[in-house]
Order: sequence, then structure tokens, then C-alpha cells
Amino acid sequence: MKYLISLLVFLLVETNLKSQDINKLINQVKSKLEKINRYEANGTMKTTIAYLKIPIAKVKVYFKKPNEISIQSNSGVTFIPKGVNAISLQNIFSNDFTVIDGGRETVKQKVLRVIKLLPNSSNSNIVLSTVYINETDLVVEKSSTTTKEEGTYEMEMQYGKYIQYGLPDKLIFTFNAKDYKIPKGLTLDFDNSSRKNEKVNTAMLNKGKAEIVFQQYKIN
Amino acid sequence: MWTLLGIELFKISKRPRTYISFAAICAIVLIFQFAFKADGENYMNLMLQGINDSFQLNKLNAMNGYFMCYIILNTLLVQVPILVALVAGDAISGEANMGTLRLILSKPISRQELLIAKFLSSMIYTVILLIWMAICALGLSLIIFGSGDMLVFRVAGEVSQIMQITSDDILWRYLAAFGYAAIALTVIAALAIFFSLFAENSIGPIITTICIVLVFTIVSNMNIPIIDEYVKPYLFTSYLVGWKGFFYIATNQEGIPIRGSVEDIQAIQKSISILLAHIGAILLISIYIFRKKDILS
Repeated sequence: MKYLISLLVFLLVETNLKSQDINKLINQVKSKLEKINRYEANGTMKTTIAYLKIPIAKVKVYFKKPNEISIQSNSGVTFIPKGVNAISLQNIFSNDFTVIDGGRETVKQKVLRVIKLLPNSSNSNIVLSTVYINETDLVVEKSSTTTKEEGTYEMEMQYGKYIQYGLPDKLIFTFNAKDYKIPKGLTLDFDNSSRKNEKVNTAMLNKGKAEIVFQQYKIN
Repeated sequence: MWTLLGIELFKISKRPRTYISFAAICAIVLIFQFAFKADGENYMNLMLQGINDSFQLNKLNAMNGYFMCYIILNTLLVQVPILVALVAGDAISGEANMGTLRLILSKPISRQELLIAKFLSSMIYTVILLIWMAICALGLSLIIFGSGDMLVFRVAGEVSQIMQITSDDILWRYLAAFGYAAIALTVIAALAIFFSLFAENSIGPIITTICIVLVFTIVSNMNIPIIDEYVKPYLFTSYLVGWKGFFYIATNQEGIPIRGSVEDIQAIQKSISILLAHIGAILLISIYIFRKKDILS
């Protein structure tokens, strides 16, 4: 009985310590991001999805505290994925959430801390966010956010010059997209007998990827 | 030969029907431009259905002069053969109708020279018509809608695609497309001249040419495997819309368009060769028939 009580006490203390540990980690990452009031970044965006053949676009990313983010382009026609707001980590951390420890995972030869964030409010568009934190640099290297309306977004960040602010040099954003199909009558494309056997990679139709390479940040 | 060509061009310029084509093209283009200026966003929404849910983009920027011209050409180049037939179908039969053919052939010119002069004048008329189309559809659209990157919507087999061509990579494509259209429409001109050899008024050859173009176009647009394999390759109408190939930009392995590239240049070259072969064959047969023909009017 004495041993059993000791074991229970140990487990409770251990869980509590762990919880304190990941909360501390989240707060450290958050406070790093909170140093930024606003930023403006120049970059290029490469959007890849099966039905789009579009060139690499020059974009400007604007951020304003707490979680306003927009991507703009001067090159006229630019396809910007709708869930691009999710690229703001501030957006993920701005909600009131419950933290669940997901242990450690090795991603691209780096051991990262996996933390699941469950929003406390039922009104939040985010259902679940999973962040992979580099405990040494205190930055989010990877994240996956499931939303109520726009499906799941995944992000991978590569850091460089702006790591002290938690801002990535390169960001790969994977998103869900709807299939695109227009009737032949609208395009008057009837001359396609030679391409008749062209089959669609259906797996690629609904999955898009946007790679944003940031060249320069103007912070605060 | 040059004098003969000059005379033929003068004759074309003096016929009121010549200007019907120019007026018709101008009217159709203006109607299109007005419609797109008034309600183009709805058209864009229709083309981008599905995309709107996944991407945000400035549709008004996409509605520029280059895009407008593509839409107009897509629609208009199906009708222009009729306008070409209107003039070329009158080449020999018009002379026969007026009783001037015998008079001309009594002069020291060969029948071959006369036919070639008539063919060349019809070809020049076609080129001028296309230049006029370029002025109205491209020039005017750029003034009204401005320039910018161009979106090309395409359905190839089961795949619907959107291609984006940057503004600095478009003009040469239009130049090539108009050049291609000139060759394609010259086939119609040659065909109309061929039929005009057999008639003594111009209505017959014009109607016959238009009917052939319409029937062949309908067959070319059918997606039936047996027709695809055995019929379409032999119909010149299957190659009339080949100009669009210049706007199908090639991409690298990552799906990024390559500036200055064309997806299938060999298909375009093959189409041009087939159209040129049609022109050559129709012209040679016409010369042969005209040389053997009894001129009774």
C-alpha cells in the first residue's frame, strides 16, 4: 500500500512537472514571437498544384500584432492560397488552448518536441494544432493545423538570419484545395484527341503546396 | 505578275463586300469588349469556379487586354473563314458572272498567272483582315482593359488547367498565332477559289465553302474514338485552331512555366505542314482544272 501511494504521488508529480515543462516551452516560443509588433517581408512564392501552371510570384508579406497577416503581390495575377493566414504562428498561439505533450520526434535528423494545442473555445476555427518545437533555438520547425472549414494545413519552416525573432527564411505550406473542372464548351477546346488518354493524378488534385522564400524582413 | 496582282487587289478594294468583313469583325469585337467591361467578372467567376474556394486572386487584374484578345480569337477565328470565303469565292465566279473572264483571258497572260494572282490577292486580303483583327481585338483591348499576365484556361482530355503567362512573354505568341491563323485561313481562301472555278455566280462557291467548313468543323469537334483516329487527321478544320498551341506554355518538372516555351512545338509544326500541303494541293488542282476549262462566259 505504501509503495502504491508512493507510485501514484510520483506519477502525479511527474505529470505536473511535464505539463509545467511544456507550458514553459510554449511560453518561451510565444514570448519570442511576441517581440514582433509588425513586420514586412519581401519574398517569392512558388505555388504547386496539379491544375495550375503558374510562375513564381514576387510577394510581400505583412504582419501586424496580434495576428493580422496578408500576402500581396504587385505582379498582377497571383494565386494566393486561402488558408495562408495559418502561416502566422502568432495566429496559432493567440488562442486560449490546452497543451498536450506529444513526446519527442525526429524530423529531418532533428529531435523536436511535439506539442498538441487544443483550443478551449468552441468558436475557434482551429480544431487542433500540432507544433514541433526545436527546444534549443525555441522555434517552431513544423506545424499541422486542422480547421473546421478549410481542412488541414501543414507547415515546415527553415530558419536562418531571423531565428532570434522566430521568423523563417523559408516556409513550405501544404493545403487542401478543391478539384478544378470546367466544361470544354467554355474553353472551346475540342482539339484534344491526342491528349485523350492523359489521366489525372487525383491524389495531386486536392493537395497544394506553397513555398515562400523570404529575402528580407523589416521588423517593428 | 505584280501588275496583275495590283489589279486584283484593286478589284477587291472596290467591292463593297470586302468591307463587310472589316465592319463585322469590328462590331463583334466591340460587342465582346462592351460585354466584358460590363459583366466580365461573372465570366471570370464562371471560369474560376472551384478555384475561388481555394485561392484568392484579383480577378480584375486577370481581365486584361491579352486575356480579352484570346477569348475574342477563340470565338472569332471560327467565324472568320466565312468572311474569307465571301471574297475568295468571288475570285473567278465573279468574273464569269460579269462576263469579264473571257475578256481577261484574251489578254497575253496565262491562266496560271491569273489564278495565282487571284490566290495571292485573296491571301493578302486575309492577312490584312487578320491585321485588322489584331488591331481591334488586341490593340483596342489593351487600351480598354490594360495589360498584365495572361491566364489561359484549357481542357485537355480529362484535365482542366489554368496556365499563367507573364506579360513579357505574350506578344510573340500573338504574333505567331496570327501568323498561324493566316496560313489556316489561306486554306479556306484556296478552297473558295477552287469552288469558284465551277460556278458562274459567287453565291455557289461561297455557300459551298462555308458548308464544307461548317460540316468539317462539326466533325472535328466530335470526340468519338473512331473519328479521332480515322477522320480528324484528314480534315483541315482539325488544324484551324492549332494557333492555341502557342499559348500552351511548357513547364519544368515542378510545374513552373518556362518563359518563351511552347508545350508541343512539333504538333504545331505538323499542323502548319498539313495546312501548307492543303494549300499547295488545292492550288495545283485548281490550276490544272482552270487550264483545261472551257471558258464560256
